[in-house]
Amino acid sequence: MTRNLFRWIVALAVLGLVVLSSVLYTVREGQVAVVTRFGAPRDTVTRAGLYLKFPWPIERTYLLDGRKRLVNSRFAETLSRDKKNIILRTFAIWSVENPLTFLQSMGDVETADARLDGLITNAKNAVLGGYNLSALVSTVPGEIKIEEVEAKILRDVQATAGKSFGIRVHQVGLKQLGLPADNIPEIFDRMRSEREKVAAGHRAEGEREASRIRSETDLKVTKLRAEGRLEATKIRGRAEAEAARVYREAHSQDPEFFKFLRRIDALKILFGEQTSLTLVADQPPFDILKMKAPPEKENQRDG
Amino acid sequence: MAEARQRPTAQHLVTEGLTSAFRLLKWGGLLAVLVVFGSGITVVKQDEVALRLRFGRLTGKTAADQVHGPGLLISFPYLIDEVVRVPVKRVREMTIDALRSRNALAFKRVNITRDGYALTGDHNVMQPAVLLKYQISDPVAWALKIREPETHVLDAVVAALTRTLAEMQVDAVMVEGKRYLATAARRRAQAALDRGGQFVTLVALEFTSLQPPVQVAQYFNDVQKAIVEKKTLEEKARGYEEQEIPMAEAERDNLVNEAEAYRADQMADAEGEAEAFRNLLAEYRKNPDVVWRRIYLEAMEDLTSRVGALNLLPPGLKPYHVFLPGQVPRPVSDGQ
Repeated sequence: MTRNLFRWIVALAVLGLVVLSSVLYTVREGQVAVVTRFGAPRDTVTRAGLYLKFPWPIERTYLLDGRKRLVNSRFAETLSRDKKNIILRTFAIWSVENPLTFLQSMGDVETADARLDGLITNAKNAVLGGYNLSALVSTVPGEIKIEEVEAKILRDVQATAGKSFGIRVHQVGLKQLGLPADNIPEIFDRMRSEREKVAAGHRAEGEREASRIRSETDLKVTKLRAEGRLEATKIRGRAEAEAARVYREAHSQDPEFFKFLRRIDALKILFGEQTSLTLVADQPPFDILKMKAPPEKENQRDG
Repeated sequence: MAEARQRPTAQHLVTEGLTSAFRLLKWGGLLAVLVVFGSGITVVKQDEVALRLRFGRLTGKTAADQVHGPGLLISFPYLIDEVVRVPVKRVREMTIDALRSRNALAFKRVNITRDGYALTGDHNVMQPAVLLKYQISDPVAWALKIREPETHVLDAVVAALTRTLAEMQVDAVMVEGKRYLATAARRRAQAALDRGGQFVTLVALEFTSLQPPVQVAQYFNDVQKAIVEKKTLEEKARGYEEQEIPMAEAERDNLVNEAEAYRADQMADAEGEAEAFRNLLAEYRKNPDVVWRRIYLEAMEDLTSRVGALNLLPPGLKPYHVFLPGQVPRPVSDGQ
């Protein structure tokens, strides 16, 4: 009895789930839904949650991804106003804005991506025809207009995409920018030539700078040495002048006595072992040789 | 009859099979029920937050209610609640090499549709590759409002690199522009990503490679070599300067110091001699004859002791008589 009851409960639960799944549907965050009744659109759901509907085949629910999604365009060659070929790749960020229009016109996101790519390519060609290549690539400040180009493409695309596709394009960006492959060899040749010039320039600049530093160093060294000699000469001159002043102040007190002393000093310097000195015996101190003894001393000795 | 009772009939086999299947289904069902109820228990790791969707709708009215921090999160089971975990605190990394050839050596010519590259402002071709570090700043937007958000981050960075390189000179890029390029590109990419509401924070953009195509790479390498040579030449010259200038300064200082020493020497001599003279003069003035004679005799003593030969002429003889013998007068003896 208990066993049968359990079976009945299970069977009813399964049946209940089947019934519920046919009349309930869940719209997840990031999704949008279109409900059709016998194929005719009945409702559009853009808010997440649990909803009721009549079971199939009366009503049918189409769930769509309503999140922002990114699509890359194909590389496309286009012509700038100054007749330069450019290869561009863009990206676009879009989301489903009107689920019903989107379902009716696109059906699925892959189709929408392809249609949007075409739309963007057309807009890109039209917009870039009004700009020179320097609006995309330039070292002149303020000359690049990439943001302006992106905004114009976005504006051109938004109207059609919103009205016809039921999607909202949030952003169009220029992802990659290149030149036709045929132009690349010439560009490489120019790059090589420029690099050779730059390398030679660096080497010459290095030699020039090194030479300048060395010559400036030599100049500084010469100046420093001259400065030292000049200062030393000045100091020596001042020293001799001061010494002379000291001598003069002292010697001026008795010039004759000073001359006498100087002569004595000169003799001391001039005379040495190689000198022969000839003197007359009556000169002091040799004059003592001819002096007689004092008389009183002689008397004392005799006595 | 007994044999018929022992052999199972077809009906019996079917009944037993159904019973077994139902038993299996019962246990399977029970297991499924347990799994479903267990699905309501979620462990949110330390670097994650969790979002709870009830019948597909995000629960909570404010951002604080919507985002659940690390820990145990109890929810209704599967089919009612769904928990989405988002690693918001983890710094994620992304290698971006969309602007770089994957197989550069295989082709002689560079084609942008096959080999990525970017043009610099002076129309040079560069192939950067970067490592991007970023963090999820809005888990709701990251998990629920944007499809494949990594592709948004990738394209924003590639576009920002293309845009930034398009305004730079190749020399600036190669020599000192890496830091500027990384900073400017990161800011541009962040601004582009923030247009629809910030959902990631770009933490850092690091170049893993910033090279021209292999076809011209050696010429760029030569420029780098020339830059190194230039710096070497300059450094050598500066080394010469750093060596010679101090030596010259030392030489100058030596000359000045020697002169100062000479000055001190001269002055000491002068002052000393002047002082000695003044002292001697003072004595001389007191008794001129004695002082004069003492000095004279001391000098004679000194001279006669130092000279090699001393000739003493008789009194009255003049020194020239030595050299002119015919003129020598006869010496006069005391006794005669």
